Amino acid sequence: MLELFNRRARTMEPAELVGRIEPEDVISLEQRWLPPMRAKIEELRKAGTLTREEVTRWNVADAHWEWPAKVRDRVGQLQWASHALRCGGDTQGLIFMNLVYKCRLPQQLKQHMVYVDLVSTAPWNRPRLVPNPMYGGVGMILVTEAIIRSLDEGFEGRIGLHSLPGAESLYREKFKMDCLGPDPACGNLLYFEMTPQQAAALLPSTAS
Amino acid sequence: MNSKHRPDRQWYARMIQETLDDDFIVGPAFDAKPKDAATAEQPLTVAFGLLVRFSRRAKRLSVEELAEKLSVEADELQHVERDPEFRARPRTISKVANFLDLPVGEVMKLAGAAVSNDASFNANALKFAAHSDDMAALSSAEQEALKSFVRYLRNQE
Amino acid sequence: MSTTAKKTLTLVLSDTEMDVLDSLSSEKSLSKTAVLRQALRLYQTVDIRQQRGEKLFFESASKEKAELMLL
Repeated sequence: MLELFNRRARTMEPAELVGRIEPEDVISLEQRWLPPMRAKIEELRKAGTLTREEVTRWNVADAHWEWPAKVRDRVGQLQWASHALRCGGDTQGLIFMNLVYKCRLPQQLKQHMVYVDLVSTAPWNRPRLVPNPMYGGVGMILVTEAIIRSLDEGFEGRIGLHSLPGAESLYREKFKMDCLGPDPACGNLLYFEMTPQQAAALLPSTAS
Repeated sequence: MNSKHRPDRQWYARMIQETLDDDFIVGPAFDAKPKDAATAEQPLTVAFGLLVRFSRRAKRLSVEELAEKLSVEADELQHVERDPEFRARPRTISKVANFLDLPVGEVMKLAGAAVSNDASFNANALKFAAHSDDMAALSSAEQEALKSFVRYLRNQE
Repeated sequence: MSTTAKKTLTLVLSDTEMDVLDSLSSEKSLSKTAVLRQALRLYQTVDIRQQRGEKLFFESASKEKAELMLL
């Protein structure tokens, strides 16, 4: 049973991981997530400060990601796995993972991995965007789910992802992933991979 | 969701506390300018939506009536007509094409379900898409535009 | 939830097909089921893109020739 940290009440609250992003999650995104995110983008645009740095500072890089279109396009495709994380009666997080990509890190070149394509958390959970964020742990649970999926698929915990600016230390230090440097094919975002050894060190060994 | 690899509650609680102020958003970097590919597709789907809307109104049908005739969801038809970012299902697109007696392949390109690298096709669609004023009955200018575009599409077969 | 419900399929394969499956399974360190799952995902992915009018090419190591895959 999964739980999120309610930052206001300072307690853990039960959360539900849904096996696939559902229409109600898309509705939640369109009606409740996007308005405050778009409002912030508009605010920056009007102030003439709509730059990558400012967008990073306020943590609204995902305002234009078009989740609804992606959900519609990907829903019947086996190469894409997705989850929604729900808590407190609403959708708190979304993730898309790809199941056919291969590794680039030399020591696991062309091995199978789970690639983390998109992760978003509801705007009211973001400390950089709102003064009183609601839930903590949404993104952490979702990225961990990619590692678990990788283990379940027989990929030994290998995952890959491109890190947005400002998040590099998270993947490098806390998840202990290897960094392959900026990827020109992905807007020069830093590309990270996790090895089976790193996955084993991060997740406790499960009793048989 | 069950997995034998899932850590226990304590692990999650600890990890959440350790990463409480970290940023887990993953995806493409912010780009102040929209991608060329995205903007190129938009005029085509606008033309598709307009084609459906004008044709429907020319036949004096409501969205619900047309949806019923085509055996598709009224909701989807509404999105087709109004939302340039919406991508209709191939099944719906081919039903629309058949209903309007138009070559399916050409309509697929218009609806964003197939690729169009044809500059002349794109230009014709763009020209038609410029007629997107909302009026109850088709003006004679709109009727002309519709007839002309439909003629063009049928000639592509 | 429909994505977690599982169904069973019994496959009949020729000796050669089984050899290939065994060989891939061993090379990729994946179970035979995992290999077939990956094959299904890839097959669908290629199929969807071709239906959209895209073409599949192979590029040689020297990047000279791009061979169109007529799949």
